[in-house]
Amino acid sequence: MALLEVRGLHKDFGGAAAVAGVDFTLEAGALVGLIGPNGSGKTTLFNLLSGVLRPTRGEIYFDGQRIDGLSPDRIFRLGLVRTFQVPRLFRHMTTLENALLPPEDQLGESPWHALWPKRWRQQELALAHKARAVLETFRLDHAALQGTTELSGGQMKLLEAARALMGRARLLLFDEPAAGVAPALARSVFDHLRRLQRETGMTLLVIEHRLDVLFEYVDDAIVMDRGCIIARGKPAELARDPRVIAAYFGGGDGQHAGEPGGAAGSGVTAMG
Amino acid sequence: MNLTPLIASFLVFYGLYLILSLSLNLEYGYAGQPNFGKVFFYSVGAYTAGAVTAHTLRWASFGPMGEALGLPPVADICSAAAAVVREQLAAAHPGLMAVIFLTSLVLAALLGAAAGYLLSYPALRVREVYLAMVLLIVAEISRSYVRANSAIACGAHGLVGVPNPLLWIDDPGVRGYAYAAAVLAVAGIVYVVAQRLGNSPFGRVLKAVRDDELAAQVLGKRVARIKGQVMAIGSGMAAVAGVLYAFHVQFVGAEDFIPVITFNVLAMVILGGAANHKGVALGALILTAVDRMSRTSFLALFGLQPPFDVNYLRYVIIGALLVVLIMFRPQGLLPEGPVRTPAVEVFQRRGSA
Amino acid sequence: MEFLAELAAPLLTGLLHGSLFTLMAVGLTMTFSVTRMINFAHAELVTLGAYAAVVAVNNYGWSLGPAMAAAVLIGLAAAVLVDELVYKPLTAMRAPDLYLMVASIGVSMVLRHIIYIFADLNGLLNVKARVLNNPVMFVGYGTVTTVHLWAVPAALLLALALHLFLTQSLTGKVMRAVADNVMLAQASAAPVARIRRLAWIAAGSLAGLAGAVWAVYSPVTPSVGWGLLPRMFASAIIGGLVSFSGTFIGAYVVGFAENLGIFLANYFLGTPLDYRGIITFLIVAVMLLWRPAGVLAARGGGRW
Repeated sequence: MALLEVRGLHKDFGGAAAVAGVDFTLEAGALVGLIGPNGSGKTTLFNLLSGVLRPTRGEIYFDGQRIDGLSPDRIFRLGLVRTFQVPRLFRHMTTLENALLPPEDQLGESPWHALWPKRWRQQELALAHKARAVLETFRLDHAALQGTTELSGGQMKLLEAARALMGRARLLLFDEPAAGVAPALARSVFDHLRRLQRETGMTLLVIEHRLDVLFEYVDDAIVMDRGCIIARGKPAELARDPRVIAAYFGGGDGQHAGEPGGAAGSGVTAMG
Repeated sequence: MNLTPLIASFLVFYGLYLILSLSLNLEYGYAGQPNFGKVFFYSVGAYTAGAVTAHTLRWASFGPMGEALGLPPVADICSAAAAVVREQLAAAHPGLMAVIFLTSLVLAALLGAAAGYLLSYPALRVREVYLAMVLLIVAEISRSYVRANSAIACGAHGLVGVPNPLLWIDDPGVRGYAYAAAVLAVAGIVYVVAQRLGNSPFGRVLKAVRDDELAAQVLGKRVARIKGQVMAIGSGMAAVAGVLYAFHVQFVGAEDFIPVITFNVLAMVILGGAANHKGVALGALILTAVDRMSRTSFLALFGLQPPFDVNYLRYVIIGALLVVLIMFRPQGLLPEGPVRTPAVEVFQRRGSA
Repeated sequence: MEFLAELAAPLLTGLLHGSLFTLMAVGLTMTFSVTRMINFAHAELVTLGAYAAVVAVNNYGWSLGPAMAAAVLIGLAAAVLVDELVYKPLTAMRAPDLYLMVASIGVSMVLRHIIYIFADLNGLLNVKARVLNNPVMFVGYGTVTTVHLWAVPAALLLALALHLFLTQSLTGKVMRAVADNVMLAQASAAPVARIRRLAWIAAGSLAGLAGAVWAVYSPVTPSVGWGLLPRMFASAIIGGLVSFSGTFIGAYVVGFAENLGIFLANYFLGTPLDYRGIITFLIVAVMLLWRPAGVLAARGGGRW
């Protein structure tokens, strides 16, 4: 049974369809790319999958359980985690604090237990070690005690990704994890993601505009255009697919109705 | 020149404002929920203290304790005669008063927390500005209602004669300092609680809700529950302060609980530095000093007799302070620091795991 | 018959209050729709107008006309001054809405207590403008007074003038555009600063005028505006803080609810008359929680 199953998903915004009938499945353990021109509905799809938006029509099944309409925190706890295209870090907190937020079942999060530090000290230290390992992978460990406002744009993106890895995710939706990050570091981020996938059996769906980088890592990619899936397959096939080529390089690139805020530029759009 | 009452009063009010500002710091400084109805929860504590004291002492007046002192049984709690009876009972029975005091504290904390939890519901529906206004209005509705309705605090005149639990101490100077010590002790406990809550994963979660509610939700946090928890905790604390206030002024009346009290506490939080308990303690100290020094009685010590009611000047100062802070230094005196948990140790020990 | 006779008084008072609340609340709606801030200090604009009229008439012997003009000018000046000194700089700093509201609370406190000090020093803590408010007509147990004859037509005139202004004049249409979307208006080089200034001038003038009339109708204290503020908010919020027609309706709803409503509740249900203040607060709370866009669910800002 597929880990993620999406059927007939629609999302309308006052007459304009950002997602206009999407059907697909993801098998557990896969590393799949999600590509398409700006405004094609990729981020809206992520919003729908993660519970940030409710679909106008359609169903989403995660591990056999219907999740459309559930609250985002519930969906996180079921194992579906997503990052944001423009990082939504907690501005007044340090890198470390951001990383320590996602883990579930923290005893210290209950106000009663919070009063007795001895009760949650062990867990906190264990999580700190895990955070250190994750932050090291993303070359952020030296900035652990700095406020997020002191990080560079690339570092913020990396922290956004690192944070997503701190939970017990089974399916991770990455929205352009390497945009604005130096190429060598971007490659190492993808290396890490692929390693994680192989070691833990995590499933990953990655939106990425740098097709050259993406195609090195994924076996399979979904192509969206104007709110629909127009193609899916191996990178090599897609590169030759006329519909894909038309969508990316054909007429009217970037002028697509529906995806709010997705119209201009390359991925550095203001996310709601 | 007897300074004792002024000093003792200053200490008591510092304790009260410290508790109130710490509670608002948790709700607004840490969690971003502007609880502009703070004075309402303060009043809940005061009304609880008044009710517990008045009813318990009324019951006592009917029994052996009342008879032993030759006191008439209390018919109407709100009457001046009842106030006299309560005072005499209090002076003669320290044990009973201690029970009343502690019961009031516990009951107020519970009622305040429950009220806070219920009133977190608006926090789930509306944005910051409207939440602030709704809570402000709740406080005003309560004040209007209590003033019009005699059952809770004897209506417009208020409940006179809520005897201080330490009334059995004959020397007023000693009594004043002793009560101040008790208030500061409670405030000290609240401070420790606030610090522990702030420097824990719970504090982290509060800040996350403040900084980006949606991101916190997407990362698995139950925002509604967290808001309910912080409002319950903050409101319970405020109610405890209300109890301590009632026994200090020995009076409970709706007209004491006006919006400027909330704004005064807000100024303390902003002045000290939101999300910094030490800062807030400093802010509370400064503004309690302003509050206590802008009184006719204090100024008279220096031979100063302003031609107008000095209370007005105090509010000009607080209002001006709010404007100036918001415009030029919204972060306050002491900056917000990171949530200090043991996790930091892992990153400070270089190399070792 | 007896009942109807008794009904007349609260009805007439409701009419008067509604008319005066219109004058006061329109200013709130106008400034909110253009600046998106909730201005607590609007209360003090009314108080300033009231005291200006009182001092002019009682202390300087002016006649009513010039006194009202003074009230309008003082309200206007205060509104513009506060905007220049506090709100505009904060808006330029991109301060969050809550900060603007807190600043307005501070301004309100400062103004109100400065007026208190002034009043205390001059024996004006509880005064009424020495202008006769004569009864004109008796209806049942109620009285129509001269204040009724100014206030009600004034409110209607205001409604008409606003309607014409917003729908027919160029400036009015620009104001509506700005109210609909401030950022968009700024991008299209609309004279946002001028519209803003105009909104504050209008708000201050109307509030000052309303304060002056109130001082003729009833004794005033330095807290008169602050005490009326919940009514102003309730009126404005029924229009979602952005619709003038909604504000107009809201003002009368509040005026009648507080007078007629409580009378009826008292007559039929035995509700204590002391609860009248709670009605207004409940209106605001209910509207904020469930219908912040107002009962007319205005589609845009500053619209009629």
